[in-house]
Amino acid sequence: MIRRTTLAVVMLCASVLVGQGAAHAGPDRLSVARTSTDAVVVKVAKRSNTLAVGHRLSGAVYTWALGDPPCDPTGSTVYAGHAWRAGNGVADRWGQLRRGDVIKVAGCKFKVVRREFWSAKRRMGSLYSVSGPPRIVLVGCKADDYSKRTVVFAKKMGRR
Amino acid sequence: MNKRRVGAANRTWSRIMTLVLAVGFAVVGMAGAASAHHNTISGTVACATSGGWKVTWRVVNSEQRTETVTASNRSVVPVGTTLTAAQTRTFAETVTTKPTSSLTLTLAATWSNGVKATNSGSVPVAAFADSCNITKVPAPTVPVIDECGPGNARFGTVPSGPWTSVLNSNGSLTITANQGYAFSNGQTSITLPKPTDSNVPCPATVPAVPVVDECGPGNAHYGTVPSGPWTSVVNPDGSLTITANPGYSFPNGQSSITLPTPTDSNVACPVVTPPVVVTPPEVLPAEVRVVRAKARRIDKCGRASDLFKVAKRSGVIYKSKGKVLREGVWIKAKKRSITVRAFAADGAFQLKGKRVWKMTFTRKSCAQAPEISPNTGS
Repeated sequence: MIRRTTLAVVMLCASVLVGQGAAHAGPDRLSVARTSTDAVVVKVAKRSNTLAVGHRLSGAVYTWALGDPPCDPTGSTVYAGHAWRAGNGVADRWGQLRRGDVIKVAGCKFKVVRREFWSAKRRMGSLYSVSGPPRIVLVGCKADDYSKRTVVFAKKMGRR
Repeated sequence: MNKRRVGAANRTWSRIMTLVLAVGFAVVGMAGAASAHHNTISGTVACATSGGWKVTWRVVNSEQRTETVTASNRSVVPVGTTLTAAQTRTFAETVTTKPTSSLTLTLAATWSNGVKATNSGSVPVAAFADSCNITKVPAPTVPVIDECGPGNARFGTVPSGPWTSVLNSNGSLTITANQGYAFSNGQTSITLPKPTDSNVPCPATVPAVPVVDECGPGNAHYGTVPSGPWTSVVNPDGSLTITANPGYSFPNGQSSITLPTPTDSNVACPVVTPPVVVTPPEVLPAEVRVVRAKARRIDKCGRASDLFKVAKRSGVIYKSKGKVLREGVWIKAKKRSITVRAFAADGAFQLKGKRVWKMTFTRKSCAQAPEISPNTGS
């Protein structure tokens, strides 16, 4: 029973992702030592007022092609990753990130300052701001509750 | 007969007695006249103003007839001095050395009737007070220092001695003998007048004035006159007149010299050839550092994050519209177009490469960000 439910969830997520299409892969990578995350950054478009994330569960995170670049002096860049309760999603352990953990992306380092769990219905447009202090935001499904999103805020530290 | 003899003897005896008495009376009368002719001599002592003692002798003629001094033991009353009938005369003398015994004036005189007499008067030693004794010293010779130049003569150092000196405001010098001393002229204070200046001018060397003769005809002129005790004026004909300051003169005694108009060498100026353009060396002399300026911009959608930054470089100053820009920080672009110019901070730096950046910032609105959370697991 549990096995069927899990498979159904994966299929649901997969159908959505496939329907949005994958953007061309970017050269940047995102890595988080604490969660052993090491993923390629894939730029994707917006579709149906949401980020058209791809289907790769692991090894990839998705960012808006029209979003703010990560290393410039202002703005907020969103990276979305899949979580899968079976245990091999790239964002499965993002909920374990704590204040001070370091995230590296596109040649820059960011330090985790806050981790929150948002309702999936909460609007996220403000996270894509092109102004304000430089930061990145990791967004992924909460591994044990897909109705929520793990939202990790990290401020820019400097170049690697 | 016997009576005759006796009578003759008595008459002879009587005549002898009469003669003896007459002679006796004559002698007695002469003796009385001699004792009446005399001089009364007395003396008084006071301190002399110039030191020592002033002795005043008082001589009184006792007779109503004139007398003449025929001998004197003190020069204050010279031989030949006369005193008229019953005259009292005083004679003053100064004694500089305290006598060891009474001071005596002895005068021999002859009156007009031929009577002679010698009389004396004395002043005891006790009358000579020790406080009147003053040591006489020669006035010091004060050197005069008269250096070259006008009106600068002055007294030098006063030799040491039993005196003090004060330089007066008018340049004179007052020397005052110490207590118990007097100068040779008897004064206790002398004032030397302000020394007269010889007004000998100070020699000044003729300054060597450089002649500036740049290339080209007729442009030789005198350069800067070295500083010194003189003034200079360039005359209309190009000659130079140098006038020594008051109190100075040039070696030949002249107070002013005129240097002739400098002769131009008429060296032609070299023909200016266009410089050969060569690529400046990367490494300039040590005193000039080559620096590169750098500026960049970020032109995001909207205007909120339109930024520009000038790199922090030693020796470079960035300006925009005349205002110096802060280096190394992002600056918000308040206008659509901004021009940044780089300048070398000073002569020790030389800019190389781009110096002007004309930055434009678009006003394209930002795309609508995704509002719905991405499907990352649900």
